[in-house]
Amino acid sequence: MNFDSLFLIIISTIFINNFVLSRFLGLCPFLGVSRNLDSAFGMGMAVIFVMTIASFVTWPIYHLVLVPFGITYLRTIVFILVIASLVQFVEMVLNKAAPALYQALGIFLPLITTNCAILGVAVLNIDDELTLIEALVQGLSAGIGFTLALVLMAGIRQRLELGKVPESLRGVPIALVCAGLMSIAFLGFAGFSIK
Amino acid sequence: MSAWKIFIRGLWEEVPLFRLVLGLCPALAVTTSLINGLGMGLATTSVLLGSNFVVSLVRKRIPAKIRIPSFIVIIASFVTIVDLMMHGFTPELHRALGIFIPLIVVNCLILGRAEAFASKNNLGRSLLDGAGMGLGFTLALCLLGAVREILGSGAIGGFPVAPESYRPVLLFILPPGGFIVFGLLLAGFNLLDSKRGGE
Amino acid sequence: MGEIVRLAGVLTLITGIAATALSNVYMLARDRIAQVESAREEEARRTALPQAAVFSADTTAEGFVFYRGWADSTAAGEPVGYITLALGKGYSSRVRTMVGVDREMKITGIKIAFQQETPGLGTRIEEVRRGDKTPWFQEQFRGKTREYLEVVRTADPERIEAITGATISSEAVTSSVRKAVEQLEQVIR
Repeated sequence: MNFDSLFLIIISTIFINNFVLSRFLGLCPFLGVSRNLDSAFGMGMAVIFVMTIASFVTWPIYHLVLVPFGITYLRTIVFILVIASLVQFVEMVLNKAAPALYQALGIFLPLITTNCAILGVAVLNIDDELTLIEALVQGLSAGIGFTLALVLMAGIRQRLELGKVPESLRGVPIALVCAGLMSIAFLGFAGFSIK
Repeated sequence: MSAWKIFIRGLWEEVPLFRLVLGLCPALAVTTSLINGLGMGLATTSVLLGSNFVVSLVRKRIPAKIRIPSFIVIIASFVTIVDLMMHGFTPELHRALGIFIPLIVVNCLILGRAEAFASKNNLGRSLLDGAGMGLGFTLALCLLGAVREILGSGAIGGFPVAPESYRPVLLFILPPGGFIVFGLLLAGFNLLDSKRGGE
Repeated sequence: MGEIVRLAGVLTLITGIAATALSNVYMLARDRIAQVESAREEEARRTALPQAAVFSADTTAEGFVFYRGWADSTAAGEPVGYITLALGKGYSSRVRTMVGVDREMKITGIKIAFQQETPGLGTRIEEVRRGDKTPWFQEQFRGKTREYLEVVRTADPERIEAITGATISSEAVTSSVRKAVEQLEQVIR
């Protein structure tokens, strides 16, 4: 196992090429759930879980089923169905195991299905030609990067609620401008030169 | 609601992106230029039309409990068709839009229209809704793409339009630029809305 | 229980219809896509080794794929040069570059075959300046041998000048090309 390449994937996915702030994946929940630190954290955990399992399941399906049968064009349909089922499953589990969190996340839980970051990481695992272990690591790191961005945003927005924001900027617009500033900050990581 | 009203609704009053804040991911990612924005808009519109068409056609046959997964399968199929067609007939655009073509399937706009309109209206009206929303989305993407391209590379549609002395602010075509331009445009729309409301 | 089976059945039916429709569309599009891809490859080969008119592929025992190129269509005698595909890990994509060398292992040309780097930064590896015909970044490689394939920040005609703000992309192309030339050297010798 090549630990160097795994380390590179972790650093790259969480910081250098953050899923939300650099790749623009996962924006809907990013703007929707980042009002409140607690729900942001809860959503982040759910996403990490779904992303990791999704990576673990979609990779073998692609490489061991779709490729040998020459039906890779069915990738989009198969992946999205797998993800939708996974989210259903997570919903059921959460409902039994952590009902408080289930209530808190409300409508956002089923919406994880349409979170482009989940389908995005599944597709990227294939396009980047990763091995199964690398794909798992990328899935986990992508979830962590998403959670990082989400939690940072929630912290900022909670403060913003108390500030004086002009009427037209209130809500989503100012959140977007904030995201832009965070994105600039994360651009600084691109200077990392990893040999 | 008249047919015209259904169509026009998607162009201003409920324009996707600025009023219906949906479909953000592709919007910010591909609008580094006008052409890319236009391409993505047209691709999404094709999927939207196809999806609304089929959903409206079979709306009475699908059991309510599995309607969302069924819509997803229908949408995913059209996305795959558009993906294959673009790869074969518009390869450069296909490459420029990259991963965001398969991601059209999770564009909440399409699922949203299927659930909110196509599953409850007849074929003609559903197609009009799809056309209006799709066109509105495309125009919004073009606006975003044009602003970012002019400010970020001094060109539009690939043609340089800024004077030689203008040094393009690269930031606008980088990710931060996407967030900031969209946020400010959204604020602009809110401002316009409140001014009209006040009259 | 029966309800679940019925629902699952309907969903499977819908998926089945979708899959059938898709496989038909795929049959129609498949040839066209293959055409597009092979045209792209052909163009990349010609840019990498302009002196050659015909190419023939070969694979070593280790699985390394490369092409020999001849100036005239009879493909007689020594090849004028060799080509292979270099793979490098870029900022946000795997960059694929077609590399061509002549008999002295000097680069005759490179062509970026695939990249999805950051627009405005990494994508400048394919940028063509006003008045130029070819991407300046790739032109730098022409005529150099492996030892000179080193990324530097300032303009140095002997080395490879990096793209400002896109060191990772510049490095990805350069190091993958360097490795490709090394592999070709081992095969030819």
